[in-house]
Amino acid sequence: MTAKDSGGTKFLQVKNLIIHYETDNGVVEAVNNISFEMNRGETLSLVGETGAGKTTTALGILSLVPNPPGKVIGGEIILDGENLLKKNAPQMRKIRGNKISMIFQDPMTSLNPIETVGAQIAEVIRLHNKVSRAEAIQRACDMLEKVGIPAERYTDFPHQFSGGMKQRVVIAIALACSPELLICDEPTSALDVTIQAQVLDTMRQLKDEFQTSMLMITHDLGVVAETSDNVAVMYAGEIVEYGTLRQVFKDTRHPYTRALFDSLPDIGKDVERLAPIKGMTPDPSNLPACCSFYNRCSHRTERCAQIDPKAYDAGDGHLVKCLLAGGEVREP
Amino acid sequence: MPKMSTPAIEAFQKKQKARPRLAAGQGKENAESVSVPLWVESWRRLVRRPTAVLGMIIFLALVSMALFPSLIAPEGYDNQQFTRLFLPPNGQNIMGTDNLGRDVFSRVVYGASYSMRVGFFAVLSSCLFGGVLGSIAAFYGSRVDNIIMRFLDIILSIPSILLAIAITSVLGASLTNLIIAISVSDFPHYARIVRASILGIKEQEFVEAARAIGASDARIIFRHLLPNAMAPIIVQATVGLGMSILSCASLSFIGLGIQPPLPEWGTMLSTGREYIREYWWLVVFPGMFIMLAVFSVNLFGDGLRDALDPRLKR
Repeated sequence: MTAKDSGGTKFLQVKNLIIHYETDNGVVEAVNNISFEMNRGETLSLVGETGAGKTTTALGILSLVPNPPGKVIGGEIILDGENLLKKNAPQMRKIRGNKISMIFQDPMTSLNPIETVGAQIAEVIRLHNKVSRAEAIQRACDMLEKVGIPAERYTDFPHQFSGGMKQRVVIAIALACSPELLICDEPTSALDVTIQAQVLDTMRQLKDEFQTSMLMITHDLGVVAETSDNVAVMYAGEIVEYGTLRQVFKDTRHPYTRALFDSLPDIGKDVERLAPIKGMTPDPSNLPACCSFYNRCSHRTERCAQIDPKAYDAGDGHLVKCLLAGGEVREP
Repeated sequence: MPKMSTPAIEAFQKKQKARPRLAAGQGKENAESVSVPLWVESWRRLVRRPTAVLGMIIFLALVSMALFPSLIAPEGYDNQQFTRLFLPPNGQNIMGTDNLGRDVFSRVVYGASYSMRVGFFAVLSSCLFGGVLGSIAAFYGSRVDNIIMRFLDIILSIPSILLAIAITSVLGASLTNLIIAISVSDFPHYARIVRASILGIKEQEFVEAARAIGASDARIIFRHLLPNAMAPIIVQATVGLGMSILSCASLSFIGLGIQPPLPEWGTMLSTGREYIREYWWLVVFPGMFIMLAVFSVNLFGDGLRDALDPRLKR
């Protein structure tokens, strides 16, 4: 399935979303005019460096951007035909944890240290379902078993679990109400590699079981390759390349995405040094008027310094925000 | 302290028993292999400290005096016998008798209940008020925070004993008014402490996670933030208990608290003051009990603070 086809209404549509942080030191343009779509049961990865606006996008979908200083300036977030940005606070509370769940980056701190893990799972179940205490406990035990933790550990506290186990508990909380959309904010960054694989595996199984769509936020291209259907590469608050996993990984068009792949170590090649992307991401409170990747781009031309390119379709819904893809400039 | 809903756990344990594959012994073994709950751990650390245990024993003795005075005191507090005025401490009246021939020991025992009641309820109400105001200020921040905290600053800028005197002289002297006076001058301290600890806790990710599962503000404050801020509140409460007992005695001493003939310690000091040159036991024993009460509470509070601090874990 490509990002473009399948017609009809999409499950989640984010259109022209703009989120700013208004601080004393000026306006931080964290998310600039991004759009993407997801179908039911699909996984979309948001990839990018630290500070590219991935987490802000996720918080925007949940209406959890800290305000002040954060502010959604414009755009639409349409879930199942309803614009989430038009919902009031009680309506959003009903959606959070029920229709949309989020898994946070650090399992060490995303559980309440003084409540038993079971009670924390039961809490979300009782928040969104009219069930008796005993039934909530029963369902919480079932969820624990589903993520691979024996139900006997219901009464244990978070500090009695290892990092990977904690992340499983977090997953159990997120999936307890069978959400339709699961947002994962770097769910495996705080875990070591073997545990990462296990957790990803569990997530994939449960995602299939619950028919959940997943928005995966990560900077790990390996995780992307393992989990995603579609990929959106973010840079300085914009989506610079957007397409199916195959389009982005095999037919990489944007110079930034290419540079990302080039900076990965290759097991088949013997190199002295990795090839980093030179320079820094631009200051989001002072973005250039031209292409935001201009300063670091190895393919830049004079024309790039003059205009901010739009997203060009490089074929089959493969969107690339670069003049190269638009054919306006030639590869040097 | 871990907040565990007992019915939930019981229901769970029932269910666990129902599970065939979980033999009874196996569950127990499992419970022992994992570490003990936080409050058991804290209790163990507490009883390892001799000073804390000493404070706790004295304090418990005073509490039992307050709860069952008639069992401990040999006589009633108002048993006047004019045949034994100003008897020095002896075998019959171990703390002597006073100007009306009442047994000083019995009066001291009955007096414990006033100090304990005032201390306990004053601490309870200032904890509640201070806790709620402090957590609201910390949670909502900016303008709400500013308004609440400046209001508390105003109260704190009035000397607390003067404020209490003003309140009791307006409301009249009674046990309830004494509690109100002490709470009003005390609760800003609790609010400050709660605010400070919640400011730290609310930045942690589990609070955001609670929002992400759709918890309301009130739920986050009462279920996730306040229980996590419990340790400093408990410590402040024990220190505050000593202060409240002292305030209660001071206000009674100057005649704005418990009125004679009721045997409040401060009141006893105040009436005994006239006879201090000749009959020292009229003031020494009530005074000693005030000191003992505050001292034991402070020792206990110190030990509690250390026991609740996980960084001092061995």
